[in-house]
Order: sequence, then structure tokens, then C-alpha cells
Amino acid sequence: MNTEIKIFVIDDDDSVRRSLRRLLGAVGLNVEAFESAQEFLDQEHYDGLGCIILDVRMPGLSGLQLQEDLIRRNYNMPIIFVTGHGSIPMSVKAMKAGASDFLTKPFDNQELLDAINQAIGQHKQIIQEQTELLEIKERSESLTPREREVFVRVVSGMLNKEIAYELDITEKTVKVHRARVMQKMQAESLAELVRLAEKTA
Amino acid sequence: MREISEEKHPSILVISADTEEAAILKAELELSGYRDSVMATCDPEEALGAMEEHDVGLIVYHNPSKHTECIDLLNTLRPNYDIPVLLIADPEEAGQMETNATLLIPYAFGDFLNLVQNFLPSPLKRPRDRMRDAADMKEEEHKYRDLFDRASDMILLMDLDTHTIIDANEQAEVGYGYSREELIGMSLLQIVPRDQHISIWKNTRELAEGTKTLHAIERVHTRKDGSPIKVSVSASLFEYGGRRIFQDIIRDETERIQRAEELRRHREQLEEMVQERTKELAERLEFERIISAVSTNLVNVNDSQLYEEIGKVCLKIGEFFSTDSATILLFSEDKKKLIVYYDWIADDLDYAPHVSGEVSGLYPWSMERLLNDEVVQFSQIDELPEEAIQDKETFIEDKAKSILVIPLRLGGGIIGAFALGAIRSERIWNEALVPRLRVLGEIIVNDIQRRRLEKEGKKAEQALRENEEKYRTVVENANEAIVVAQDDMVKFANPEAVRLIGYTEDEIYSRPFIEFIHPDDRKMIYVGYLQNLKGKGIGVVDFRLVSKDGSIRWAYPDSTAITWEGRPATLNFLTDITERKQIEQELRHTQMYYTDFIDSSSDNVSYWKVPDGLRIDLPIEKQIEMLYHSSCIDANRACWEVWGFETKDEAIGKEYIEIIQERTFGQLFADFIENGYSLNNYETYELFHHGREYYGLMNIYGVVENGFLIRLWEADKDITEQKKAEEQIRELSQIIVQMKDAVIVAKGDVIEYVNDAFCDMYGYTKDEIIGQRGSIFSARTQEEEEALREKFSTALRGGPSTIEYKDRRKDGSVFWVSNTIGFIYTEDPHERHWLSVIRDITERKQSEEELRKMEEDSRQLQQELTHVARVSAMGELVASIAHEINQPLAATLNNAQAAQRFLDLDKPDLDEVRDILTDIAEDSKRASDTIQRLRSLLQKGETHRDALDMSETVQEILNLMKAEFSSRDISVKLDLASKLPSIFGDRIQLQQVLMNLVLNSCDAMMDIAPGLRELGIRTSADNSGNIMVVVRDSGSGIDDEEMEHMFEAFYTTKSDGIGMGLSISRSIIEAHGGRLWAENKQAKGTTFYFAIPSSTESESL
Repeated sequence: MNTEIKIFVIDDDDSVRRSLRRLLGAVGLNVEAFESAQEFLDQEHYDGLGCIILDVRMPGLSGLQLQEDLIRRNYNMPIIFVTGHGSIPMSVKAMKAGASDFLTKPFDNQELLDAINQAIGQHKQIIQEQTELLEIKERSESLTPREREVFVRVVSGMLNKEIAYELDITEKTVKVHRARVMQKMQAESLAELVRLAEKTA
Repeated sequence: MREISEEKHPSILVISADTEEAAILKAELELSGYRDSVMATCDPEEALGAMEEHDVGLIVYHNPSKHTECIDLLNTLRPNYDIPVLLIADPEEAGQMETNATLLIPYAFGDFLNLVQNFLPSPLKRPRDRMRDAADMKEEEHKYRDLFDRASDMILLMDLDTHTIIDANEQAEVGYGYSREELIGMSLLQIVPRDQHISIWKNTRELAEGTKTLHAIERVHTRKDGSPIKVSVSASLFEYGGRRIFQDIIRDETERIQRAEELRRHREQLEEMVQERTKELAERLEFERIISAVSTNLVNVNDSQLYEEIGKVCLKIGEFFSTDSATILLFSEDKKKLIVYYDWIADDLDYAPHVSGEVSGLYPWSMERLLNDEVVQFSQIDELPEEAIQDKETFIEDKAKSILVIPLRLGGGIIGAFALGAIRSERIWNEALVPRLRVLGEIIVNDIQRRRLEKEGKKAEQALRENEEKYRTVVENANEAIVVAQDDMVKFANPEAVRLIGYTEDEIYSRPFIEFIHPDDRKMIYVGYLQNLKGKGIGVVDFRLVSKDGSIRWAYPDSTAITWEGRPATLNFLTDITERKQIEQELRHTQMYYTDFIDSSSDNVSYWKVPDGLRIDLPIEKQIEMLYHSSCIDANRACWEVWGFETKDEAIGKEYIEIIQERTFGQLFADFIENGYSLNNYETYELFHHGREYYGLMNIYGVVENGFLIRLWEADKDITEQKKAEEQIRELSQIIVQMKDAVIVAKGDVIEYVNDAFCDMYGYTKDEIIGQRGSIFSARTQEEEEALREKFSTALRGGPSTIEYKDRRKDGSVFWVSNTIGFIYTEDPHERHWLSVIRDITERKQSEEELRKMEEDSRQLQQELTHVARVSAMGELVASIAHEINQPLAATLNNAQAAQRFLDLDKPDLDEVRDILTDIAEDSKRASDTIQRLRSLLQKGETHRDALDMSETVQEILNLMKAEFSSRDISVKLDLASKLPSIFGDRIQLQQVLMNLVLNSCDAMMDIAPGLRELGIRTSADNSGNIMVVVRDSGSGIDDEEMEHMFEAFYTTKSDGIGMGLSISRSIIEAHGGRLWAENKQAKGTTFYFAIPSSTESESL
């Protein structure tokens, strides 16, 4: 596992917190533990790979409230909920809100580690997608206004002729702009260009 | 046997217009020997028929004026028949017809009979001789003769057929006033008034037929002098010398009744007289003493002391007559003014005004009356006439209710008045007071007047003379004897004294006075005289004067020393008390008789007169019957009260049969007679007429004289109470026999008696069980046996005691009984008798058992309910509790797996592993603790009390609920006192209460903002030794209606609650001797309190 990965444990129970830190430490994970949700929020923003292991029932800000709060902040680190006594409505709510997993105490270490792996993978993917989207956005921003007009019409399935007619330019000019769009967007085919266009939408 | 002549005798025909008279005449003639040969009729036709059919030898014709037809008839017929006619007629009737003889009404029966016999001798021989000469009598007859002569009652013996008296005793001579010679041969009818002749005729019939005996018949007979004599007559028939004779025993009741009446009256009179005389005497003496004292003192005082002296007199008079005021008034010389000289008013009457000065204008009417020498008096103010309006007004002002004013004279004129007044209440003035007061008043005013005249330098001779005259009159006319004694001689004696001493005046003045005194009293009187001379009065003692003729008179002296003609003398008032002395003497005798007689006895003592003629050889039945008619002569109070009378007089003269309800004395009298006319301690039962039952222990003695029982003495002790008690015991024993409860009487261990109920209950017959030991039907355990023995000894020491156990019936079935054991006291202290009253209590035992089961069931239900409530409350906590358990479990698992991983490393960090193990152990314990707590809370079962620290108990349950608070955003403020006194209680139940209260508080805060949810819990000890727990929330409070109902079962405001929480909580706290209540906080929220006594208090619970 990568040391760049960080696991955040938020649980008001000291004993639970300590045991989790110990367990995750034993498998070589980098763990940071917090006694309350607020304490977690108060820390410096971390944008690396990782996940949050969050107790649902806590004094002060509860686990679910923290989840809502993080979504509002667009903080995408996956959350694994753990609870001493989980009810179905509670877990549904958590999962709907995008929780990675919902574990009921006590849980097996493998169960937790699998959840962590999954969450990390999830997080990695999220991060990759976000990176890709960012590149595509950068590429689309490099298009000239005329190129953009052509790009929108190409991905919507219009023929060069139709585009030329609509933009009142020659078909050939359309072909030029089309080639440049393909180049700038780093698309090797029309299909790829359409995929990229969907992502930026 | 009657001598009946063989030949047919002529008849007598009685004719009268008056049916009754005809019947009487017929009866009289029949009684006098003309039996069966007298015809009486009122009808002339019938008379004519009789004369034709019968041989009529005499016609007795009564009062013909009412019967003119008959006169004519007789006058016509008589010559034909030549029958003598005896006419009985009023004087004016006589001579209307020709007769052979005429008797004028009223006639004497003796004369009538003689005439009849002259005309027509009786067919029966009329005995004219005495019974027999003494010489002919046998010895037994002598006795009889003695008895006859000495009897205290009058006895007449008569020939039955002719009613001729053939013998009479001395008493009869005395009683009837005839000599014996006169009586013998006389007809009985002569001493009996005519209106009784018919009844004698009837009685004789009955007596002759033997259908009736006569006793104690009240009659009025006639003496020789014609006066009536009240008698009771008892008659009996016997044969003597071949003749049928009947004997009348006659008791002169006149005397008895009179004597009794006289005695009573006499006694009353005596008592009354003694009382009156004593009172009168005392009053008179006292008054006369006042007069003499006043006279003497007024002479002796000087002018300056006069007013004061008169004051004393007024006081004396006022007190003596019990008046409220006494006033001396004087008229002015011209008689125009009336002036108050002295006015006395009773000390305790401070509200009544004194009158003083001139009062002429105030009493004008009275003044006029007084000047006219008239007494002014009234008992009620309204008695004053209208014209006395001014006087009336003044008297009302004076507050006088009754007034008596007497004018006082000097010489010819009125010079003053003496007024007595009643202020407190109205009174009636005794007229007798007036002259006495007048004398007294006049003495006073005369003295005042005399002194005034002297003072004014005028000759007072006139007044003085008058006063002397006044004194002389008083003395001369005094009712009391007044004697002045000097030098052992009488120097002065007023007329009354002369009379009392009983010598002539000359004799009295010429002899030493001691000679007039009874020798026995002389010394006493002489000593008294000498003392009195020296002015030392001695006690007043009655003494005797012996008059010239030797008669003795009693005198009561009152003596004072005076100066007589310049030398010492004694002034003696002598009151004649002879009469009183005599009365006293008499009274003493009478009283002695009564007192000694019977009244002192607490027994019922009575004295009876047996009816005359109870000869002791009469048949017992006859004697008994006569005894019933014994009449009471005397009885003491105890006795007549028992009989039901109000006064003794009611009892006197009553017969036994009038006092007792029925003839219940038959056996008593029979035994009395058999036992020789006496009985000792004989038990009797009497039911008196007024309904009272009486048991007596009777002593009765008969006084037998000359073979007759004449008196009875009866003295009996009232044993009614005792008898009633015995009766009750009998009734009680009857109850025992009939009782539904079984009764056993045992001596020691052996059964002596059982009742029917016992046999029914146990199935034994009496024969089977009596004589057996009680253990035969016992199904008792060893312990019950011991308890029973204990009860026996309790019964012996104290009262009855009850025990319950099982007994066995004869058929072997066992049943529950309650046995009440009593000890029966008998005369022999060594014989212990026991009384057991046994009740079959099987049914009761069954219902008791059922009840016990029901209680048990309900207790279990209660427990289950409590448990359900607890589990239900914990249901609400289930998430929190699971959290609370899973937390340590999770930590443990994490730690264990972490440890494994550490150990898998090539170089395991053993220190780390050791830490992990420590944590694991702690977490495991934590989890197990929680589970333990949880389990105990969920446990069913008996309550179990221990000494508890309330703070710890609270902390424990809160630990379990921690997650709940956090999940509900409730902040908890704890204030738990340390070192609280322990309480004695059930931890689980108390924690259930706490859980309930805390959860309620949590629920109450859910509708307010999370940041405001605050729960406060506090424990403390108060001054009175209670441990107090307070659970406070910051919710919105409870409305009044909820507050009112929230401790009731099944009351809930929660959709999912069972509504038992607070109700059960309250019963739990109350079961701990505590109290649970709630209050709304003024600002916000609700506070629940409960307080439980600390263990020192509750240990005793």
C-alpha cells in the first residue's frame, strides 16, 4: 500500500479509536484519529488519497451530519460508517448520501480492510476522473470560439455540409476547424470526441 | 239433722206490693225456722189462690197503702178463712184494716219474730238453751270451751235452721253490746241490717248444701245501741249433739281500720304539731327576746348612742323577718310632714336606694292612711289603688316589691311609722306580725319622742308615763310567763307566769321560788339563777315546775340579769312547753314501735292476720285456701316495695291473693302446715300482681292460739338476683345443647360431655366419645399439639383462648377447626374441667387459601407488569445499549486482530502486544459489565433489597444511557452527592424508576432545539434522613391536566407508550417507604423528585 494514503478515524470512544489506529497501523496504513467530527473539520485540508472511518452516533456533530457537511463542501473522500447498532433507515440514508460502506461493530479486520481498499480504489478513481475532467476542460478551453461552435455541432451529429451552411462558412473551412478541434481535444476518433464532450457537459 | 215434724204445718203467706220486701220477709221467715212453708207474693189473685190451696196459718201483710186491691180482698175474705193477719205498716197506714197485730215501721226484727211465733209456732224447735252445761262436757269440749271464750274474735254459734243464737263468747258480748243471756235465743238477723238478710239467706243455703265456705266476708252489723259495726265474718258448719250448728267467727274490723287510720293520722298530726310548735315557739321566743332587749337597751343608752341603737334594732328586725329594708319614720308635730328617722337596708343590696329626710310628698296616699291609723301593705305593687299613683311611683323608684307600713301611736295620736320592705322578691306579709311590730315600733318612737321632749326642756312626764304604761301592757298581756326573781324570791310574776307556776299570787310571792321547781331540777335552776345574777348567762335548759295540785309542767327559760328596785335580779321568760314534751314523748313511743318492729330490716318483713277460724285441725286444703286470704297487718318498706306498692298504706289490709298473681303458694302453705306452722329458709317463687318475679328465701312463723292460727310472721330474703343467675345458667346450658358449634367438656384429658353438634361434626355418637381421650380425633401435628397445650395453660391463667388446627372425623376425613378453650372453675381446685367450643372452619380455611393464592397471583402479575414496563422502557434504549456493548466488543476485536498482525511480523513489538492485551481485558470487562447490568435489568423475579448508595445507583443506570443522551443531543449535568447515607432497597427497581424518569425527561426535550436540551440529575440527603433524587429537564413542561393524571396507570401521551411507567415508578418508590412527585419549573421544564428514607429509618419496615 502506498504511504500517501491516509485513513481518518473519527470515533468518540477512546478505546475504539485506539484499537483502530493500532489495527490499521499494523497493516501499514497511515492513520489519523479524531475524537469528534468537529475536530476533524478543524484540521488542515487534506486532498490526498484516503478514506474516513466514521462512527454514526457521537456527541455533538454526528456522523451523518458530518457526511452532509462534507458533501456540501464537495469533499469527496469516501466514508466508511461504523456503528454499534445500525438501523436500516440509518444505513440507507448514509449510503444514499454516498457512503462507501456501512459496518456494524464489531467487525472483522478483513472486512474493514476490504472496505478501506474499496474506498481507496474508489477514491483513486474519483481522483483520476477529476484529473481527466480537468484536462478535458483545459483542452476545451483552448478552442477558439469558431472551433467551439464546430465542436458542439460535430458531437451533436451534424454533417460538415450542414455545419457549413449553418455557420455560413465553406465546408472546407469546417473540415479545418474539425481537424484542429480533434487535435486540440486529443481525440483520435469522432466517438472519443463525443465521449469527451459528454464529460465536459 | 233437722227435726221435721210429721204433721203438716200451716204456711205463712207474705203479701207485699214491694217485690223486694216480700223476698226479704220470706227469707227472714225461712231463716227463722219456717223453711219450706213461706209463700210470698205481690199479686192479690195469687194470694187468694194460695189461701184456697194451702193451709195458711198466718198472713204477713206489708205496707198495704200501695195495694188497695189487697186490702179490699183481705177484708172480704178474711172472715171466711179466719186467718190471723200481721200488718207491717207505716204509722199513717195502720188502722186502715182490721188486723190481729200491727208492727209500725221501722220495727225491730226481734219483735216481728216474736209475734209470728205467737201466732204460728215454728215447726222446728227453737233452742233457747246454752250449748250444754260445763258438767256435761268431755275433756276435749273443755278445751273447746276455753278456746271459745278466750278467742280474740267474736264467735256466735247458731242453729242452722232457725238462726237462733245458741251460744256467744265474751268478745261477742263486748262487740254487740248484748249480754250473753240476751244473745242466746236471739235471731242472728237481729244483729244484721235488713238489707243483708237476703244475702244471709243465700249464704246459709250454700253453706247447708256444702257448696261454699264463707270466710272473711265484709259485713256491717248492728250493735244493741243501733250503731254500726264493721266486721268480717267467716262461717263454718258443723254438727254437734245431733244438731247442725254453724259458727260465725266475727272480727270487728271497725276497730282495726279505725285504729290503723288513727295511728296513721295521729302520727302525722304529732309530726306536724311538733314541727309547727317548734317553729312557732322559736319565732315567738326570738321576737320576745328582741322586744325585751330593745326595751332594756333603750332605757340604758344615752342620747348620743340612740341612733346607733335603733340601727341595731332595725337590723335585727330586718334579719329576723328576712326583709330587705326596715325603716323608722316620724311625723312632724303638725302631722304635715313625714320624716325618715332611720333606714336600714340589707348589706348585700347595695343597688337599693336609701330613703332619707322628708318624704311627705313622696307617699301622700300612704301618709294619709297612716294618719288614719291604717296599716299600709301590699305584696305586689299593683295592689295599690289608682289614687296612690305618687306612692306607687316612689315605691318603684325605691325598688320595693312588697311593703308593710305600720302606724305607731303615742297617747291618742299617730307619731310615726315602721316600714318593712321586700326588694329582692315579692312576699306575703303575715298578719300576725302587725301587732308585734307595732309594739316594738312604738317602744322605739316613744323613746325617741321622750328624749326629744327632754332635750327641748319640756316635761317628759307624760311620755314617760305612757311608755311605762306600754311596757306594763306588754308584760301583762305577754303570752310568755314573765318572772322577776330576787333574793331567791319571786318579785314579779305576770298572769301567765302565775298560771304556769300553778299557785296563787300570794303563795308565789311568799315562798322561795325554788319550791315551785321539780326536786330533780332545783339544783340546776338555782345554779343558773346565781350565774344570771352575776350577769353570766348560762345555757337554756328545759325544767319542770310542780304545781300546787302536783301536776308537772315543763318550762323553757330565758333569763337575763336586770336591776330591780336598785338591786340585782333576774328577768325570766318562761315558755310552757309541756304539750310539746308530751308530744315528743308520744312520738318516741310510736317511733320505737315502728323502728324496732321491722323497718330496720333489709329483709322483707311482713305481718299477717290469718282469716278467722283457721283451726289447725281443718283439712289442709281448707287451711291453704284460708291462708291465701290472710291480710297484711304490717310490712316494712323493703317488703311493700317488692310487692309493687307506692306507699305502705296500699299494702296494709291486702290479702296474699291480692298481692301474688296466682295461687302459687299451695306447696308453700302445705309445707308450712305440715311443718307445724313454721318454715325456715324455704325457697319460694312469687309472681306479684304488678308483674315482678321474686325468688325469696322465706322464714314464716305462725302464731297459734287455742288451736287457731291467727297471725303470720314472714321474713324473707330476696334471692331473685341469684335465682335469675341460676336461671340464666340453665338457659345457657340449653344454648350449649342447641349450639351449632361443637362443645366438649373434659375433665383433665377425659371427655365428660359433648353436645349434639359435636356428634354431627365428628360423626361419633355420644356413647362412643364420652369417656374417651381427646386425642382420638386429633389430626394435629407435633407443633400444633404443643401450641394447643400452650393454649390450655393460657386458658388456665387467663380468659378463654382460641387455636386452629385439624381434627379427624370418625370416617377418617380431616377438617379444619377452631377451638376456643376455657377453664371451668369448680369448687374443687384439683379437678380441672375444660370447655372447648369447636367450629368447623374448613370453608374459611379454603377461602383463606384462595385469597392467599389470589394475592400471590396478583403479586406475580404486579411483578410481571413491572418487568414488562422495564423491558418496554429498555426497548427505547436498545440502540444506545447495543452501542454501549458493541463499542468495547469492536475495540477488543480490533485489538486482537492488530495483535495477530504484530505477532506475524518478523520482529514483533511485544510491548505493543502487551498494551493491546491490557486494552482487550479492559474492554471485555466493560462489555461484560454492561451486559451484566442489562441482564439484571431485564431479569424477572423477586425483589431483593440491599443497602445501596443512591449516587452509585444513579451513576450505573446513566452509564447505560450515555449513548442515548449523545444520540439525542442532550447534555447531562450531574450533581451526585458522595458519602450519602445508604438506603435499603431494590437496586433494579430503583434504576427502573430512574430510567423511566430520565427517558421521560429526554422525550420531553425532543421538541426543543438540540443545543437547549439539558438534563440535570442530583442526589442529596435532607434533614429528615431522606435521600432525595431530582431529575430535571429543560423541556416545555407538563400541562396541568397531564400533571394531574400522569401517575395514573395507562395514562400516556406517547404513541408507543404503555402508560405504566410513572404509575409503576410511584408504587416502587412507595414500596420503599418513599414518595415520588413532580413540579413544573417556573421558567421551563419539569422536575421529578423522589425521596426514600435512609436505611436507619427503613430497616424497620
